[in-house]
Order: sequence, then structure tokens, then C-alpha cells
Amino acid sequence: VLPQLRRGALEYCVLALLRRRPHYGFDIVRELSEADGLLTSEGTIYPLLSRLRKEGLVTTTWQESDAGPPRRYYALTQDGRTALDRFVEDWRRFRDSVDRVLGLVGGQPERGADDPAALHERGH
Amino acid sequence: MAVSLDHPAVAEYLRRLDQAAARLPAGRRGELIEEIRGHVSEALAAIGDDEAAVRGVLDRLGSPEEIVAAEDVGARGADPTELHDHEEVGGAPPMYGHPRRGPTPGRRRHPLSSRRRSAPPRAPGGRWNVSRCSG
Repeated sequence: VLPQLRRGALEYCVLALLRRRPHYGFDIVRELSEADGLLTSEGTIYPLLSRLRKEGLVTTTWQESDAGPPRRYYALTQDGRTALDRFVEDWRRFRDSVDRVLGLVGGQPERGADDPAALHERGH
Repeated sequence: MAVSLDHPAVAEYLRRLDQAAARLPAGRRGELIEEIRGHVSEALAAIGDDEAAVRGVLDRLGSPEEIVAAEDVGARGADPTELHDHEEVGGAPPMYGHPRRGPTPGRRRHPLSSRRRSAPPRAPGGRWNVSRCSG
């Protein structure tokens, strides 16, 4: 299960990093690696960044580096910001639902779709 | 400080990457290789370029084939991520090096997705219960 979850969430974690400030590739990897379990094969971040750029969610610029060759910096676009905001909303709802079903939070259990009373209300 | 990339293991890694990336559009191939070169250089500059460091950096990158396969992941409309699913859940060996192609009906699916698709529709039963309840 984890690979699928990670894959789905990873691109938004990248967008979230870029919202704070533009990053170059290795910089992104370094920050993501600090979050346990997010990034398993570091090199796959570059195809991901390429896709985000094609989708218009990030832009890139070359900047001189005093530590060596120029670096390609990635920055969030307005579309990227919007996509991230939407994900944050979706993620919150998703996480809360899963937590409730797994019993990780207190409170009343969710009334499920098979509950006749719930169906009754929805159907009328 | 720029670090030299002529360590034999790095050279070999970049050679394999170049080979694996041969199926990518020329522009993207060059770009990907440049990014990986830059990454290795930055990483070795940060942690030192002794033998262990070089191995560690290349290990964490993942295999060149895996990186190139990730170029297909997330393309809208297709689901090439299955290649990774099989690899990561320890199923069939990954199918690296295939030319890019669209999904075909006979392709392997993740067990969960096929189970979901073949499940009988639940709505009719639900509606039936509703009318009985309300009637």
C-alpha cells in the first residue's frame, strides 16, 4: 500500500517545499530525505519534476552557484499553488475519513453507506 | 566545490543511464542526464567522494533503469505506475526497457484494481432496500 500512497502524495510534498522558496534538485532531495519514507529512489524525483513542469505547476530557471556549475532552480507557479491548495483540502478530508474508519480518533463511528437510515435520508 | 565525476562507478552509472534513456526524446534525455550528473556532483561535494560515499550516493539514486521508468509515471490517461507496483510489492520482475506504449486491455493490473473493477455493482441492492424501508 505504501508505494501507492507515497507516489500520490510525493508530488504535493514537492510543491509544498517550493511554496516556501525555490529549490534546486538536490536541495529538494535533501529535504525530502529528512522525512522518513517519502523518497525511496532519489533519482526518480527528476522525472517527477519534469512532469510538474510540463503540467505548468512549476517553472525552472538557471542560477549561478558559487559552489560549482549553475543550478536549475524550481519554483511554484500560480497553477501549482492552486493544485497544492486543493490537495491540502482533499488530503485533510481523506486523512480524517481513514482515521475514523481505522478507529484512530475518538467520537462516533461513521454511519456507512449500508446503514438503512443513512440511505433513507439520502434517497429522499 | 565541483566534484569530479570520473570515479569508475559514477562513469559506469552514467553510461547505463544514457543507455536506458535512449528511448526518451533527445532533449529530455540530455536534460535528465545533466540533472543526475548535477545531483551526483552536489551529493559528493556535500558528503565527500571516498569509495563509500560514491556507493551510497549511487545506491540512494536508484537504478538508472528505475529512473528512466519513472519518466512514464503519472502520464495522464495511462497507468504505467504498475511497473513499479509489481517491483515494490515483490511480484513479477519489472519490465524495464520497453518502448513507450499505451495501456492495452490485456495488461497486468494491480490485484486491487482488478478486484474493484470486477466487483458487482452495489447500487441496485441498496436502492431496493431503500424502497422496502420507505414502503
